[in-house]
Amino acid sequence: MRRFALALLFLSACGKSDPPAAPAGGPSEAQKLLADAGFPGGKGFPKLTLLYNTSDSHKRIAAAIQETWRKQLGIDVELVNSEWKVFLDRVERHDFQIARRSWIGEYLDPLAFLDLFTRDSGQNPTGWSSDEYERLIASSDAERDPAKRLNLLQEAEQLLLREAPMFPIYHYVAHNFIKPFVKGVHPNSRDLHPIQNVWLEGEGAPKDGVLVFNAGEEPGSLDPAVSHDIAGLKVLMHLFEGLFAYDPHDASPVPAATERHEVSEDGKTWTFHLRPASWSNGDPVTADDFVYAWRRVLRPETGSTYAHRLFMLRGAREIASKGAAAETLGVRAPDPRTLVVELTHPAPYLPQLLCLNLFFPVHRATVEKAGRGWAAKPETLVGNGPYRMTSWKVNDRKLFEKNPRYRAAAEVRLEKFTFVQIANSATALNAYKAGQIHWLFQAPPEEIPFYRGRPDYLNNPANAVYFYVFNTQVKPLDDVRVRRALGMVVDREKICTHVLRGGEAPATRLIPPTSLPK
Amino acid sequence: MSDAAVESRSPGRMAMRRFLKNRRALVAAALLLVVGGATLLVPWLSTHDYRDQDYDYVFGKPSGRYWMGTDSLGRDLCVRLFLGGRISFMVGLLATTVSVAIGVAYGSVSAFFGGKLDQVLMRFVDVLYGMPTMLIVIIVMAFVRSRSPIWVFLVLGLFGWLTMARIVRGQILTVKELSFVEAAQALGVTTVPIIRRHMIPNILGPIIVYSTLSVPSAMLAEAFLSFLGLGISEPETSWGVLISEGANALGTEKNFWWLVSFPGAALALTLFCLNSIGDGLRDAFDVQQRHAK
Repeated sequence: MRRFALALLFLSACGKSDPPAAPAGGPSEAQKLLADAGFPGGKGFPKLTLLYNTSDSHKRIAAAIQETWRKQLGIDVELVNSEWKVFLDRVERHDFQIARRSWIGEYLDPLAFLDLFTRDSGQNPTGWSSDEYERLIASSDAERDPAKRLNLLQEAEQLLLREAPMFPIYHYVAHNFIKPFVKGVHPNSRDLHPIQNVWLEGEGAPKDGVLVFNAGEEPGSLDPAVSHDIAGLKVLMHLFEGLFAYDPHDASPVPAATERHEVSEDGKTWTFHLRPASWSNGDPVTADDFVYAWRRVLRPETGSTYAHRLFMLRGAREIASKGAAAETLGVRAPDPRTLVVELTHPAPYLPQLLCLNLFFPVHRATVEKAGRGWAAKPETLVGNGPYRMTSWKVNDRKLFEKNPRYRAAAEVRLEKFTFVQIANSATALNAYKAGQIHWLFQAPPEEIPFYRGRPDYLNNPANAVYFYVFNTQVKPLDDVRVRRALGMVVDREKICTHVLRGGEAPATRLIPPTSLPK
Repeated sequence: MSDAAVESRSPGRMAMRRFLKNRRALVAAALLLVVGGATLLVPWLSTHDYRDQDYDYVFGKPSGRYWMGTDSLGRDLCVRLFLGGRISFMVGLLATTVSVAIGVAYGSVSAFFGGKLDQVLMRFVDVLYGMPTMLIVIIVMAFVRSRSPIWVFLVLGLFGWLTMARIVRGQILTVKELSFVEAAQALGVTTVPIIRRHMIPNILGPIIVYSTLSVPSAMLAEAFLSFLGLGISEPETSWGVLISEGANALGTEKNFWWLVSFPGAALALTLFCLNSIGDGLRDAFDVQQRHAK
């Protein structure tokens, strides 16, 4: 989910946020920790580098933290920026000392953030791991009582913050610029909006009835098994329909391809009863399509970098990493309308995961006939969702039209829409102001203060966190006292109020409030 | 050449006299001195440190407290501007010096000896010309892990001499055929002094004009490298960096004009001065124009 998280990096944010938590410690405590570690007043501390990907707001945050460390701790760090792909490569190769990260939780649960730092995770560049942490996460998986499970997870988070392989800086705020004639949009913490429930009405509404939405960067892939960015999900959730889909009001999971389901006593066996539905080419959607799609995600030759999200399915880990046959997966289709799913542990958040593109069914005959490139052309992109893509110009625009064969086609309000891919947020904002775009979910952060209070600007807390990671393999960052001291002195509140200026929430913990029970 | 013989002064001193009579060039030189002096003095005299972040004055307008306003982190633009000037001046001057030194030596040797050597040397230049300079600079800078400004100066200079080498070669080819070179050879003057004493002074005009032009391009190249993360990094700064940040601070709603106008004005003024001085120097050294007046 790394890229999921990272694709929305530029999501600058805004709005009313929760009151900041108390800082985890003051400068004097940090100075003492640093002195204990053998660097009184920063004396003898080697010059470290802080790596971030080239972007104005990352640079300003880094410069603010650099100055705090110099002033409060007497430590000099060098700022190094690089282009996005180089940055990712360096972080993945552990070729960094301190680096910027962020994460969008793909479901509303503390585990979506905490499992980043487990041994299974491919997204932990810090080199830190802990037996105690693994134990806490594992026992939370086995725990059926929600309160006890939450306690275990919070304990794991405390351990993480104490050991400090990372320190959180702020929790994101989603913000949308939406023209007043776009009706039926509900801000939500996932910032995911099923467009079929939107309609255009009122002054200025486009005469051709086509909604134009800026979708930011071009998705890496439109194969549901491979796509790993938020841009891909935003497209795929309109072309396909999983067992569950996002509720237009709050993006919570609601039954979609499934009519109802039963969960066994131990929480490990889920039985889904599918609604009658058909593919955009007329073939019926069957439970076998799901079984085929899920096995396909796990097969190493599919090349999904994101398969570990399916590891709670029985047998999944063995298929993806130990070469077991895909047929051993604990997912069966006893009849075309019934799907039985076996889990390794109870996963109350399963419906949220089922909304993700990894769990979408695919049309087996098309995929096998068209081969690897099946998802690269609108003609072979056979889906079961509310829309079909009629035209696709890479890095420019995608046109969507209502899919007449969708099982609930009568409920789809919006006939047509266009996704334009403008990655530069300043350009996108200009296009929005000029009326070429009706809906924009990114804007340059410094611009936000000027839009606060306008009716076409919406914001809400997002399920995402911005943090820094340490490479715990290099001296002196192998010393927990040094890591804690560095994280402790950072003034999150000042960064949010004065540097970001978009209304983000200062973060002293990893898990955003949106992923904690109210 | 009879006038010069009667005055019996060195060519350098005569050029100096002519330069001092050129009003525009003198004013430009004086202005450049003022700007250069300010880059040395202002950061030293100012009560603000270039790293200090004053969060009460983020994007502060020019005021009595901050004469040129403050940037996105509440840092004093005035101090940063003049401190950045140091880097920009150094980049401009050092990179140009390096490229002029290489280009003049390379071009004149190639032209003077001619023949096969000329062919080989100039084909090498052609090959380098075929490659995008900025790309090579980026590759080299990526290998140089150090972010010291010295490397930026050197690398930009090391890859900026190609045009200079061609210009010098063309000029020397013309001058080589003139009778005074023949005379010098007849008197037994050796190769290096002939190039140095007799030929280069005669082609100074184009060299000077071209070097004044390469100063701004070096400054801009540095800004580009810094944007990519290969040049200087925070909290250090330069005019190129300040201008590119300033340009970002102008938007559809926001209008932090001071962030772009002050650095822009400083760069424009400097380039104007350099070009005027270059003009003045060319007029002063140009042997042909001297007689026309």
